[in-house]
Amino acid sequence: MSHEPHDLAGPYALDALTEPERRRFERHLTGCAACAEEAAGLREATARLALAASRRPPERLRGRVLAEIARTRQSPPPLARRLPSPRTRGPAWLAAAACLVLALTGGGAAWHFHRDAEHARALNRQVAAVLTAPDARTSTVSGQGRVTVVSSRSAGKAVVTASRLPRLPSTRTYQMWWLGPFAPRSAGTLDPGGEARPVVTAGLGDARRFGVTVEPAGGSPRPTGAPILTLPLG
Amino acid sequence: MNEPGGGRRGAGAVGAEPPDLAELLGRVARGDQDAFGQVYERLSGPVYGIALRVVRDPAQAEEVAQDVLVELWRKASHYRPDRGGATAWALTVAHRRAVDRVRSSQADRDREERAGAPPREYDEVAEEVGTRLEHQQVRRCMRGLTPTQRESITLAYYGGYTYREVAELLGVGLAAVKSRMRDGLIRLRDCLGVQP
Ligand SMILES: [Zn+2]
Repeated sequence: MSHEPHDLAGPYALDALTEPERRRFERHLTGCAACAEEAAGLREATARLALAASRRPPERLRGRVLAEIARTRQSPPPLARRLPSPRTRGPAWLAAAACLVLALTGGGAAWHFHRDAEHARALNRQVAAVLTAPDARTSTVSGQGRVTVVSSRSAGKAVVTASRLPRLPSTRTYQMWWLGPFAPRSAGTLDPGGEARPVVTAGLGDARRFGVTVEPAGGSPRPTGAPILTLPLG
Repeated sequence: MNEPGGGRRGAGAVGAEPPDLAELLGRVARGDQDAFGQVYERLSGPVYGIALRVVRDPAQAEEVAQDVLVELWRKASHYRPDRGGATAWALTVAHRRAVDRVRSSQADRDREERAGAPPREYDEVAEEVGTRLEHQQVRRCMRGLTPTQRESITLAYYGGYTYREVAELLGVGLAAVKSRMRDGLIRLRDCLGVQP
């Protein structure tokens, strides 16, 4: 699966791919949940661009359309295609997990999961367990940086990737928190330096949101400032 | 999502997602022409509007809109609620058809100009309150993008250019254009309060 087009969700949502590119990317979407979810979210945004351009059509259009549909046969529903299931435990499953990691890290060169031989060695089992959980949900926020959280209630864990977060002095660190109708619970510290490595963090529990604060090096028992970002959890 | 009252729809979307468009499409899929009449009421404005914005010529836009609305009748059974909102699905059909029209026509020389031009006297032509609010919100969020993000998205979505053409027009690399489009749409999505 070399050269998988993980970075085409934007052009795809804008219909800015050629027809062959679009078909290829849609095949990719059937096996890559991260891109599929991102593309669906971006489609909601482009739909708003269309809604904002709304114009009342000429009156005659209604009659023409209603006359035409009255004599137009409808097409049957297409047969559903399935995503590779975690239960498959085969190369398809590994490929799908690798897709997610690549997409989460922006397809960066830091992660070379393309070659099958490297899959088993490089892919952290814990990361794979969360990414392929049946109830895995993806949330992304971008602003000063880009943070993606894939959470699974059944696993009680989340995989977090961060990229392009501003560098901090060595006396400070980013710290992750579980947020909800309770005092914030630490989800560990986040090292933004270098590669966008996914980290696995446990203790999801009944948290509703995920947040990141800047804390003194080593982390704090509770946040000392307002979060620089928060994300909803599925 | 387990958010209270949270679905996939953005709560702030004025007129973006009538609650039962998905249900209407389900009835249309089973051949219900009355339900289709309601779908027409909801979608003919945005379908015609985006066609007009992309192809510019009113006669061609009307043809495109007719083709799209008939296609929604024909392919209502293809809508999959688990893949996204009904409005997004229908307007994707519409936008793609409009883009196909301009790409297949030879007279595309002035598309750049068309895409870059501001919508003419928008507040006068958008006679419905919902549309005007929607337009204002989108315009506000578009202003929140970087100029290069806004330019790339406008050329692609309203101009009908491929990302390769956009890269060529702007004299930048493909990777830069892809990330401008993606980052810009993410920012737009977040600003509009659309749930991913
Ligand atoms: Zn992908």
